[in-house]
Amino acid sequence: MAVDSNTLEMLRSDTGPALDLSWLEGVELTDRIAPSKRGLILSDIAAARADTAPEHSENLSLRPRGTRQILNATRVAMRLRDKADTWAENCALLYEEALARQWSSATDIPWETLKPLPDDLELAMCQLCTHLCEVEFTAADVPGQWIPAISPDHFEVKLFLATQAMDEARHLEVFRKRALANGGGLMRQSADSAASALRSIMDASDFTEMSVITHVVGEGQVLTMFRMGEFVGLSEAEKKIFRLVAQDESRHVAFGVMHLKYIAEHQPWRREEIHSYLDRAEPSLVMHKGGRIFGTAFTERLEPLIMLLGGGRDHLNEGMTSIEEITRRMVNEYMQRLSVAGFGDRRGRCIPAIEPYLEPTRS
Amino acid sequence: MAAAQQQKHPPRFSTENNLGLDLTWMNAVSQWGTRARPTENGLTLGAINLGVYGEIPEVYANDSEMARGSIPRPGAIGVGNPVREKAEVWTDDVPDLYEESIRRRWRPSLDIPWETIAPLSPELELATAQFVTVLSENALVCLDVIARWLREISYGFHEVKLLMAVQEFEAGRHFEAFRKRAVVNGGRLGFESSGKFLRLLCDSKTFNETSMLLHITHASFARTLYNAGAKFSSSEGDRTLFTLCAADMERWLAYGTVRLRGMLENKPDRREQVHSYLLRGEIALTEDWHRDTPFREALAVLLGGGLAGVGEGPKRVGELRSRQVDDYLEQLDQASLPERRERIFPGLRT
Ligand SMILES: [Fe+2]
Ligand SMILES: [Fe+2]
Repeated sequence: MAVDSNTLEMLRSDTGPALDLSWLEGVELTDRIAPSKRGLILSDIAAARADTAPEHSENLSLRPRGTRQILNATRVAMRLRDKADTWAENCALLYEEALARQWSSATDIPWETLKPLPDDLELAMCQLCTHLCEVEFTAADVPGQWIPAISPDHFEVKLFLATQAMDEARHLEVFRKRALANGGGLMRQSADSAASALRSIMDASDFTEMSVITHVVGEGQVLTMFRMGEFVGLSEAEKKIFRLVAQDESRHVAFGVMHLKYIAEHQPWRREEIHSYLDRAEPSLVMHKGGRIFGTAFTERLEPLIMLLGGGRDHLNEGMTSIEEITRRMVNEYMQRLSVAGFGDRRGRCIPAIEPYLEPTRS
Repeated sequence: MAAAQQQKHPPRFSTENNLGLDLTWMNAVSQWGTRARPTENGLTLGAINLGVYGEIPEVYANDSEMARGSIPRPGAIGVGNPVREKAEVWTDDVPDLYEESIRRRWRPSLDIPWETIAPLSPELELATAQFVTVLSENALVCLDVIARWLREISYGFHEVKLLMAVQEFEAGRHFEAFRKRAVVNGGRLGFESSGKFLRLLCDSKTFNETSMLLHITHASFARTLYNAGAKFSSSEGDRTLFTLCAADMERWLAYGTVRLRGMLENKPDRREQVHSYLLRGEIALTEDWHRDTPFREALAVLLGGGLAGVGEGPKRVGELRSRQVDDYLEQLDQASLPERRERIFPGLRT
């Protein structure tokens, strides 16, 4: 069904105000789209309208994919135009999932379950939270810099990254709230090595480089840590914080893994380049060896964790044993993710420090 | 009621251990004894701004990602964050606006009763699609623009960074909701905008310029359109969509207006510059208005109730335009810029 062209012609020749109305010309209405049980989600719309992101975008105006072009629109040429530059097949679903799983740190955490802790444990929790306040929002700051360069033909990536910014905002404030809610306070800024790791994310000059270091290595690592929150958290409030944050992080990691997979499948010539990013980022996975910490690397993350996992200042050895276990999990989950992304060969060429933690692959 | 219980002397611990751990952090706490309490809205960002943690510096000198109020490490490397002046970004209600945004979050997929949108005549459906196409494009550009500022704002004003993150997220929500509306009822995406104003937003160079254009000019013009949309909608679904988006815009405006007022109080010498930014925005909006014929005509169809009323449409469109301008000037009054009424770009009204 379309607007009758005779009517349009008649309106144009009317004596009233001059009308163009060509935007109505020849446009047929198509089927309406019924929402499913999940509501009206992006992928339902895309499927109903055969609306897929192009492998290469010729669109240099500000119009989102599918919008009709006008010839005198402004041109913005500084763009990432190949789908593989930024794409992940799961980004529309991750976006909808992120909307479904938003939470509020103000009301969804049972703050009343926080109980006074022995000083050493309160200090350790506060130091860990102080560190997390510094690092969490980097994963919003940095992707934010890339968003304007992503083509509006690949808007799903922008949308996903906007949910990540929202998530990281919540992470920053929930850890700040925890540090200031139980009789402790904020503690010491993290060591330079932590700042350097963050700088390597900021300094990335390619989207995939940024994504590999941020989503796959960095957030993969904290995801494993947050999943151990059952053991790190000392109250239901803390356990819930770690659970909810881990749920968010798993989306960020899933984006990175699927972006990498897209690269592996569509730009296989980039494999060595990707390995070079992994070479650079992997040392952050193992921060200790044989019960000794390497230098001051992540002192303000690792040491409070050791104390929390061990159960206090007098149980550091037990904490160290747990850190070994976390590291083993971090390394193996990391390798598993890379293998899903099509980088199973990393196992044979990872940095030596992580080899002792590798478990044989399950066949 | 939030409360701080401060204990002057934090505990001291020996750092001795047999694992080679540093442990000096155990003796480095900045305000031991802080115990924020949940308010009636839960444990809010405002409720934790206790003592040193709630001191918002006029200029935040630290250029690292250190959490405000923690103990700095000398030698920490910088990360940039050029926006470090309180007067540029701060308003006292930022923490509340952030929490309110979270409380009022909504999901286009489920919170819009899409099923209530009944079939419309082709011209009304296509006019609706054209209308929301431009709104959707605007929102995606807002997402781009806001995202770019997250990193630029200093960690001394983390509440503002967080508010920008929510706004980025809200812009995404508006983009996707309007995009869904364009096609859900059998229509298709319409024509893009000529984008003069959007380019101005993309090209803005200082936070002040961005905030003027985004949180005042854009937000005000958009809010008036959303409110008009809610009025001419014939279904519960469309009404809900426009009403929810308008409510989000009110928070953007609240931030932008109070920020501008505060900035003008603190930096009266910036007044003329503010007028320059506003003028540039007004000129660009005027150019778009004249060039974006499909958008204008779509509004005429929608306000006239169909093609039969399209003759009446332009008059109603003119009235809507006037309302946009009036709302914008009213907003600037609230931002303590009443003289804009005398200086507004004359072409903006028509
Ligand atoms: Fe996070
Ligand atoms: Fe994350």
